[in-house]
Amino acid sequence: MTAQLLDVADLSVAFGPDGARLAAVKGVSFSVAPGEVLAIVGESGSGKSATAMALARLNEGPGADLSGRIGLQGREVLKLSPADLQELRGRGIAMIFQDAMSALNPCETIGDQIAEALIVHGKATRRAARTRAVELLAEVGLPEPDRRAALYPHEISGGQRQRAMIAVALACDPALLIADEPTTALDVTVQAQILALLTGLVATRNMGLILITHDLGVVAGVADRVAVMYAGRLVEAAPVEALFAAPHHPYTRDLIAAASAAPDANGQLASIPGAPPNLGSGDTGCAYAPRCRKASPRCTAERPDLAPLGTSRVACWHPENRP
Amino acid sequence: MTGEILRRLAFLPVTLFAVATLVFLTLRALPGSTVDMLASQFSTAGLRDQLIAQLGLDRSLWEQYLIYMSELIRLDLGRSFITGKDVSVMVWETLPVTIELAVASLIVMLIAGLGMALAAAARPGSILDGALRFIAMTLFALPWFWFGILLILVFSLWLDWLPAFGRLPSSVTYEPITNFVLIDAILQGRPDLIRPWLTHLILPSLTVGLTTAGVLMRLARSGIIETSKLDFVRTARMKGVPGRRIYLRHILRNAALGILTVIGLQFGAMLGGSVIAEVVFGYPGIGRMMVDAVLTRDYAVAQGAALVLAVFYVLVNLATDLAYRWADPRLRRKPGR
Repeated sequence: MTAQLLDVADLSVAFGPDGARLAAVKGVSFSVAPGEVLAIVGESGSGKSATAMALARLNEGPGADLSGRIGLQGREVLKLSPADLQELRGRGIAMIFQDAMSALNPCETIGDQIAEALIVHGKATRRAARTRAVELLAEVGLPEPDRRAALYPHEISGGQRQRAMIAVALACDPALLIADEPTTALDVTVQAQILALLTGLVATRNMGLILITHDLGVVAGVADRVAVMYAGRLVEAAPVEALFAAPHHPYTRDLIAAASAAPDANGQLASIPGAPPNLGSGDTGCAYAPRCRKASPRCTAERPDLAPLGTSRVACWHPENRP
Repeated sequence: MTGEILRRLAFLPVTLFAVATLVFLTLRALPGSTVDMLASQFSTAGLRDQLIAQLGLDRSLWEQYLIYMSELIRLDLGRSFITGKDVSVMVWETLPVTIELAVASLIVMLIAGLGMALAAAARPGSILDGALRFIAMTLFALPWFWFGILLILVFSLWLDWLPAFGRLPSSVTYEPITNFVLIDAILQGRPDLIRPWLTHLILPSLTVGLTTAGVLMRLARSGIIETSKLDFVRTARMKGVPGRRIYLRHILRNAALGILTVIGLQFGAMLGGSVIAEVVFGYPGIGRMMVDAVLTRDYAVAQGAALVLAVFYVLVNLATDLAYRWADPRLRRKPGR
């Protein structure tokens, strides 16, 4: 645990007007090592994107509080001054987003957008930054990178845009890359290419990667470790093989079952009955208890903490697949 | 791009035909006639009839319309009923005056409107933002003529800083070449013209510029705030771009596209709106010429002025569209792609 790149402890994110803050993320702890791919999995509203944004303090501001501890390369991210934070962004930590079309500036060429990161961090002159931008576009597998660098985001295809977005994020050699649903907006074949690109980059650059997704298929393909989030909390964290072979938390099990089940006779896809709780609802007991088949009175009265179980950590009073 | 310009210009005659017809009919729907103005000096009915025949007003509406249109097709705007002067000459004398006023007003509007918008949008919800929004709303709600009169009262009558009437003092001799004072001052080597010209221009251009700045401020402010919420701004923050650079290079650059359209529309409105300022300030532009012509039922002059303003309006809109296309890479078509 000493050689960790990222160490997050008890991270909470709350949104809303003063006095009526709603917690989107409640005391999440995890870590990422260099060269490791951590997948954070959860449904919409589970707090996975809020967690990802919080790592670079991108969702901080009036009406949004971050608390807890984020250690990145030994630096306390939440205690950095605005100037140090600016320095950290792009170099220590970089991010790619779901929709590259809206995440790229429509009025600037792709080359300029990559070069800008290098220029503002004082890593290159204008001219050198341009050359480097073309190299980066080549690294992310864009054909004819020198020609494409002069194009605008709307002039290339969706998959190429996401590659360009990755090149923007890679410009300053970040130690940690966060990919927030990077393939959701793409075709299946392009998805596979982008994921292969990302895992390749992790290996060659020895960079940490946090992959935010709701797609268990993606997780199984690329992740080393998986963290499952439910209603703002981490419910299970495990190496990827262990998670799929023997899920401990009933939610993880139900999620995997729902994802891998074939449609029934009526063509209906399998789903977990019930719905996740609202952000504002009470916080006693396990948030999954109302939907859980194994729920006991203890589950609604007392909240389970994340505790080691085999190679995993799980927050459940009645874990499945005990070793 | 060239194709687009040609396509738009091809529509110009259609627009002008509609404007000409509308103005022709509206003027004739007004009660009274030039003859009443001119004949008040005469007394016999015979002279009156002679005058009517001379101006062609004894013909049927259809005949008058056909004569007017056939002259128009030959680019002949006719002659003033009252002075007998060529309308095209009168336009040549008054249009530059209005253009001067419109450009000066545009500059005032840009400085005041964009200045307020930039300051307000930098910190939405702050006290400064609230104050600027209030000022903008007030400017926006003020009637132009009232604001003009207020400026005359304060700066001309009470403080006696600036002249309230006309374009140049009568003490200055001015032999126009282009009718643009600034250009003529350079051509003729007359720097002494510039100061009196500017002092006369200040109050009317403040009137038009500040009242339109209110609209520009509100639209530009909301445009900037909307743009700052877009995803690429978050990307720029993720890259570690400093706040000031994000504001200038990412937010303003993109918000400018919408603001450009507003400026173009406002500039077009200024040409028409300067009619009021020209009347209030006795500014001898084409707008005042048109108002005078309508009041005296000088059909040819009123028709000519309306047509010229319409042409100008269409050209300004065309220029705005072209500027927009040039500024937005998504609308720019690259050859060879």
